[in-house]
Amino acid sequence: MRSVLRSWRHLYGENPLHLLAMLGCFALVGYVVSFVFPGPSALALGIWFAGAVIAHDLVLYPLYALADRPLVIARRARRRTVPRRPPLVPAINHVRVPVLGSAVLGLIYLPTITRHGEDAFRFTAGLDMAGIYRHWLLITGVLFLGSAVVYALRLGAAARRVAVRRRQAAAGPEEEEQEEEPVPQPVVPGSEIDPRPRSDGSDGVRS
Amino acid sequence: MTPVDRTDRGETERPAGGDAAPPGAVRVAPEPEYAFPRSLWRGLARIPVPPPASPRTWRSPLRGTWLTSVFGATLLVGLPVVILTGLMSYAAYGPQFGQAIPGDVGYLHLPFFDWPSSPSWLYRLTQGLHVVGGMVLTPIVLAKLWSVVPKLFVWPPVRSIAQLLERLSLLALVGGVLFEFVTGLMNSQYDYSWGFGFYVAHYYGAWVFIAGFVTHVAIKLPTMLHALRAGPGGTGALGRWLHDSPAETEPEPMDEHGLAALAPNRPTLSRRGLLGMVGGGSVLVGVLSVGQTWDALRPLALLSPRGQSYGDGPNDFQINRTLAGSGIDPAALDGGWRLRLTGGSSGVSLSREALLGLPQHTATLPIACVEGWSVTRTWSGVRLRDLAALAGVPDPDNAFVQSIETTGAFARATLQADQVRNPDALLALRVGNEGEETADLAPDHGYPARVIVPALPGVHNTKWVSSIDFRTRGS
Repeated sequence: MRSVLRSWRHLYGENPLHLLAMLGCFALVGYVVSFVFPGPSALALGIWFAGAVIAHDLVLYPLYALADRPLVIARRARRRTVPRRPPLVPAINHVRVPVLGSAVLGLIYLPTITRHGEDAFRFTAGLDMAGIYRHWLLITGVLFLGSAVVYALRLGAAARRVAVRRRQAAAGPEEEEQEEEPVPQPVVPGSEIDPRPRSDGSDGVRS
Repeated sequence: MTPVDRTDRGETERPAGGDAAPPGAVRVAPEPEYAFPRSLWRGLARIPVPPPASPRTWRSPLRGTWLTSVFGATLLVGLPVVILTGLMSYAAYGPQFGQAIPGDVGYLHLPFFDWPSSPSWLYRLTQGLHVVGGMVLTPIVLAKLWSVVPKLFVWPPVRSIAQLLERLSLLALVGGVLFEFVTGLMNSQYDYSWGFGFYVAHYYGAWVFIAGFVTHVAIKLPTMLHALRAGPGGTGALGRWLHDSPAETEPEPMDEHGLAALAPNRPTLSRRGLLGMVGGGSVLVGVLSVGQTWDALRPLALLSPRGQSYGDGPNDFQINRTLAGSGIDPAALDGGWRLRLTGGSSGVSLSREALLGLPQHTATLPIACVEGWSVTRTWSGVRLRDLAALAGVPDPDNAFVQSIETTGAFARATLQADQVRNPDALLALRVGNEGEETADLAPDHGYPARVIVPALPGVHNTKWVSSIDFRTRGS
């Protein structure tokens, strides 16, 4: 029995129940499809079903890939603009959050924001969708502004911690041990700069 | 960077190493298990591939079996709610009368049952859960798809016949979920640019998705449970993964599921942060959407077409078919209008004044649309069961309501016996805000008279009623 199972696995790649589940899935899909095919909407249905997958893969895939590369993007941006200096508080998530919030709302409410359903809506409900895109812009603005305010507060707090540490360091060497642990760790997920002391004596800037 | 780093990792960022991952540790993908025809898959695997098929394309250190399992577990709770409430909506349309769309669905339905007419908020709840629930799950579905995107481009694309079949079945799962979310979101915003009927597409699409979903759960449930229980490095210390700061966050270990990155970036976001971001996205969408079905929160539904207000008068609530859209000649609503009641030995014809002369009943009921919006109003008019008695059919098995409107798909509806008998089921003549004086129905809300039945889908609360036929079985 065991050897039969093993050779089955060599042949098929999974246990027999897997095949059973697969056949069940395809049979049910076939049954469902038999209700619409052949039929007047079969072609449009097929196009939209396949289109949803392809559009997702083509439109969202590059976005996913982009989302995977924040470091690369951030490094390029910073090289162009800012002198090398470790950021006290990494900004990346303060950009990510409002971008994603705005994007997901824009995606979900796309037909309303672009007024694509307006004619049908006027016919059924007697209203238009004219002002709604402004609400989306407003919400986007609030998200970015809120994120910026939180960032400013965090930056202020971090700067104060650094200042406190400097003052303590200046006050006397006896406080050195204290100063070591809690304070400013402006740590720095997402920056290429590791503020912790490095064994190789470099400044922590990665190239 | 140490020399080890440079050779083994190329240009990748070293993950912020904890004690568990010694600096310079090389991440190696486990050798995949190939099945028949082995030489073919192996040969494919040897072909060097560019991104996105190259495993170095995907860099997020947070991706991995555990993370995908967290999203999967959330959807395993959420999606069945959306699926079941959707199937319940089909039942609420009255398939036993042939008025659910699509009509003949073979075995593809819940067991038939009479949709209850109590509690009155039942359809408001189920359909609100269906639509708002679907919107709230959208960020989680997208996060789940993001977490598994390396599998879409994995090389070699197939390692066994089993995997070939499984990838085909994923077409039903991923295609199904995208199709259902896209059609549902578009329909609730009146965007009908498909070239097919929404009900038919959304219903059969749902069953394709159910096929893919059930299969996927059956195959992946053990993996998910194991990953959730095992936690980081099989230690079960889930708390540690959730409490790690970005700097402490270690990449998930590579395993045979192929989700964890071969060459992870240094984390810019903690696990807690990512889950908070996705959950926060869901909360944001929920807060901005729930107002379409919750009167007090309507001002928050800033992006929903149904968040808009008509004003604050007794007739200022959502309209799903305007008089202009119905194609009814407004003259037909004037003094010449009569309600015909049939089913008894002789028909009865009533003017609006005659109806107002009958005993009036007032009920506060929600009207809830399949598109996910609902509003509560106080309605007053004549009880349907009183009209049945007047027609000479005091105990009907069902009632067929016909509108003056002739063209629309919902110009008529059949009501179940319990929906006719419910003491709050009315032929409404007047409507108003809760706790205020009622006013005559506006023409857009069905003047001279409309049906309002507790827990009935909105479109079956027929407007501009012209006749009601009370029927008994065998007649």
